[in-house]
Amino acid sequence: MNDLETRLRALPLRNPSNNLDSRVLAQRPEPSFCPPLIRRGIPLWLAATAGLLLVIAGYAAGRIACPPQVAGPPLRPAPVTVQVVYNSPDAGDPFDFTHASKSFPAGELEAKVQVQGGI
Amino acid sequence: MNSLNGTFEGIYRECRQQLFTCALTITHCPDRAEDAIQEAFYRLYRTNGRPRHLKAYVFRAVRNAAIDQLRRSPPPAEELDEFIFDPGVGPRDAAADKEFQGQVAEALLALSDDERETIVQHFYGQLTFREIAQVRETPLGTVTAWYRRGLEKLRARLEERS
Repeated sequence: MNDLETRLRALPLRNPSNNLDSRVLAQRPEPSFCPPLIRRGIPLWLAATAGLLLVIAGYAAGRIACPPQVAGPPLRPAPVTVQVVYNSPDAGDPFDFTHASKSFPAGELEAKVQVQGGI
Repeated sequence: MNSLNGTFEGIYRECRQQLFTCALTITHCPDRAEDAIQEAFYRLYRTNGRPRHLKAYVFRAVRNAAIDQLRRSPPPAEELDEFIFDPGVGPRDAAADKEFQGQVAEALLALSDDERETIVQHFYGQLTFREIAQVRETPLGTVTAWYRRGLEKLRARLEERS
């Protein structure tokens, strides 16, 4: 460094005013109550991707925990039970109804009644 | 809040005088130089991401804010007495030193803007040529050329006056 440079460096400089410090430090933003991730400025695309992944993971977990029920064959309606009470002359006991019933599949039923005798 | 705010504050405390001198070289007005520093730190505190060269980044922010100040209104018609130097006459200030200071101020003001700013940034901003190149976003060779040319003009002018 030559003599001129040394003399130039030695010159006293004009000072800033005393309130510059407070003016500059006052520019610091107030601390917010945002969660740290938001404060760090997570990009929107990253947040959206993370959200989408969470939704997919949640759906997959739900599928594993509760598999969908397979629909079985349609239930057939209960058969219709018709009890025929008759007083047959062959029957020993006119009040024995143990065999006096017949089951039919559900649906329209056509019945034909024939009266052969009376009391 | 930006995680770099503490770092920016540290750079401000360390380079307060240098930042002010560099801003004053552009604005030619102490009040506007301080406005530029305040404005620059308002922006710096809200910076996203981490700049590569922090010190150069802070000086660049202050320089840009000073240029903005200048665009809003031109520099004062009357040149600042003693320019960037302390106009106060202390008991230790010899008359010869005071005269030299005035001559340097005048010689600096006679340089081109690029030469003057480079010399001030190097001597009084304590920036290396590489840092000046980062601040100015200019090739290193251009910065050293401005410095050499400016210093030669300064030396010639001072020799002429003395």
